[in-house]
Amino acid sequence: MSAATDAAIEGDFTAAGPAAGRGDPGRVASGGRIVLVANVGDDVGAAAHLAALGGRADGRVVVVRPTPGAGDLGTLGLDVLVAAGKRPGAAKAERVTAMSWEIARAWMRAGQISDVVVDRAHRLTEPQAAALAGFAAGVGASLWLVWGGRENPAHLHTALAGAGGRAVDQVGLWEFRTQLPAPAPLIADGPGDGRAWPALPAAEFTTFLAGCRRHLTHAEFGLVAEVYYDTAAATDAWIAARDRPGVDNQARFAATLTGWLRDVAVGPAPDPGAVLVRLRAVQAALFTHAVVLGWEPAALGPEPAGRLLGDLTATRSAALQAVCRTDAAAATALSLHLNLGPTHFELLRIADVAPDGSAIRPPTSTALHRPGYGRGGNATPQHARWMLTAALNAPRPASEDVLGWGEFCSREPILIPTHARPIFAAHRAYRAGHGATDEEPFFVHPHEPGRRSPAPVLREAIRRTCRQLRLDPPWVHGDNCRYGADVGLVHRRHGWMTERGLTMLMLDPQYPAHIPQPPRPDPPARVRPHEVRGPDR
Amino acid sequence: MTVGFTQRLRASGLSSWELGDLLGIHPHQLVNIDTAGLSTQRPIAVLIELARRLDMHPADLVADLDGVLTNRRLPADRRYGDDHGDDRHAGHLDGEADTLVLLAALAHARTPLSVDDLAGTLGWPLGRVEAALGHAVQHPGLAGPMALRRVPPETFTLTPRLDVLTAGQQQAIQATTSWTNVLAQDEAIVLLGALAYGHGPRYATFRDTDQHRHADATLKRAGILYSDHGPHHVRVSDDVLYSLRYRDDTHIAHERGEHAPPPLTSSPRDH
Repeated sequence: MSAATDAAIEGDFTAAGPAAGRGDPGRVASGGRIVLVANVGDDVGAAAHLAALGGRADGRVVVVRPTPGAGDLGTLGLDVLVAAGKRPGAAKAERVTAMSWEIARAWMRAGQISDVVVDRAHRLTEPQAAALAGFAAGVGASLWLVWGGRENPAHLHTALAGAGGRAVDQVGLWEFRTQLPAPAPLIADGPGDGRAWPALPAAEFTTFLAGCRRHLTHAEFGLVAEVYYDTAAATDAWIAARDRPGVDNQARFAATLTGWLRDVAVGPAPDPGAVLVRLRAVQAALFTHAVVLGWEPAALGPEPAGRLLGDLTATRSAALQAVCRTDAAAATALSLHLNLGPTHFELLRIADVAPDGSAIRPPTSTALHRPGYGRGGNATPQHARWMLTAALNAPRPASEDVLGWGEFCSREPILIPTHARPIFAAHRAYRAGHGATDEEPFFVHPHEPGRRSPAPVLREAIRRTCRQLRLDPPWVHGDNCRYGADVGLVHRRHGWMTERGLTMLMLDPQYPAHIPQPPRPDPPARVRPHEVRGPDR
Repeated sequence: MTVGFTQRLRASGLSSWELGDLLGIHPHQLVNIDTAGLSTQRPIAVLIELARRLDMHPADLVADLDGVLTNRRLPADRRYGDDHGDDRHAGHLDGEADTLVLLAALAHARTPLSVDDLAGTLGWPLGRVEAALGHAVQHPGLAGPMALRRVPPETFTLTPRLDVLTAGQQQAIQATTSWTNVLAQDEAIVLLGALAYGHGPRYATFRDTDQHRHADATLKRAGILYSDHGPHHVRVSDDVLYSLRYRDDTHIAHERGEHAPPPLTSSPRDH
């Protein structure tokens, strides 16, 4: 791009001001924000979140990925066009490279874009950052700059503020995720309206879809196919956005996968029929990435598919909202959602819970060594001993495994179902009402906060609340409880996967490279029942 | 919530506070509870209490109970097969009850049983066994889809009747290779290997060097894999390829006698 064009673009944004876009002089910039998102650790979760944001069904968020090494405005303009959904070579082919910013602004205004997210913004030059700020203001959108650099980006604040005429906020990844949440993937619900699913085959995932195609009527199979292909596509997108760790680090991947199954893919399904189809689709999709998600229904009693659903149902949330104590309600809701006891709940800080209760940031293993943990050195001897064991046997001692640390310490937020969010928001408000700051623990001992661990009290509160709900979850039984051990004296691991008879196994990572990966049609035309010609059964 | 339930609730005078307390939820939430949530997800004690308060039949609260409430009550041996009540039964039993016991015993047994075996296990005199056998032969309908067979020289067993299924159904049952087992780790590896190498000669090397022969055989028995050109090449079943989204459903459409859809490019107006 020529210097003249650069100047024209700069002039467009800096001299004429953000509100004065060409051809639309009356447009007034809305109050969009400029936000620097600190991603110092270059977290893989940030990449996954950006991937999910880019696929929003409403299309109101665009993600700009600047070409590495290009510091000029022209190339960035082409990147903005790509973010607006244009083919990468289209601007060149149509000979409009010089007008890339102008065209992108027109498209984005028409699409009523609300947020422009820029990945790896630390690579931007100052003119580029200023141009983006002006561009976002012209579109009337907020600008989010995801900053992966280690140096302090403060020197750019002035440039950004000058160009956009707005103050620059700085937030962490957690705030980024809660303020600009990724949408849940669109997965069909099945028959809905209280109508029942047809009887589904008991076949393993390897032949499940074929079994449905063969034994169901066209109308019934149409329902299955819709849910199956939606879920499989969502699983493909989910795994593509994440680093697939080596076989040696299955635990971390298992924790992330558990969160995905629990909060998005399997747990929130509306009924046992939908949950079975969703699970089979996830299994089939993961298998082609050499991840075997095994399901052992034989141990789950009659109607095993019903056991796959999440335990924090709308009915139970309603019952929990009839409980007075906010800590008992929140701890029980979290325990039911995660299928874990409260052993590690004290690691949560108030800042880890989104103000509306929609998400909870799990603690990392470094939280075990945080000064605040163990109540400032005043922990009980038993608690101190446990902490010491945890620290000495890092990262994952066997005792923690049994207590569910592995599933709890996922690197991605725990998403709370809509109906249960007021419970967490209420406890947050209660703690704030007592003058607790963001850095203080979310759960504290009711009588000696800061001195004693709240875990035993919470466990009792959860048991009592569960009795009111007429529930007896095995994960809050004491360690010596014979019902806690399925096989002899070996305590079973607690957790969401165990309760559902699910296991995860990553096969040798060499296979995916050799597995044929044909294009996956979004359901192929022939599976759509109304297009199949033939006698119905 | 069914209309009958609502009416009975009103007639019983059970307040919404009491109902909420019984169900463990706040009365304000009652409007959100549907019949399924009310009935199938509640502990049995709640259902008993509801049935008692509303004077309702349990099957009206839980539709699933319909099928099981007609089951025979315990203890079964007070009515059938009572080895201490011969005198009481003698004379007024029409033989049907004894026949049912005899048929159940034969169905449970792993091998054909002689009259002596039956008399010993049931604690009956030989004459009673003979009478029950005779009744069973005269009334074959009592055995339903099963039939009493004599296995030479003097033993008896139950096998399925041959006139219930069509010839095609019988043949299909014999040929069924159902695959509902959970995929084991080595089977998963072999299946991935077959997807990756199955078309070429590398599969044989992969299978033999990595000691996957056993899993390979298991998958072939289950119909997941098959070899049509000798054991060195292997193919993955069309059903599996379809379920894993590697191919479309043409093979099932052919099997079900469905015609292929018309090509997308042509439309009736073209002709």
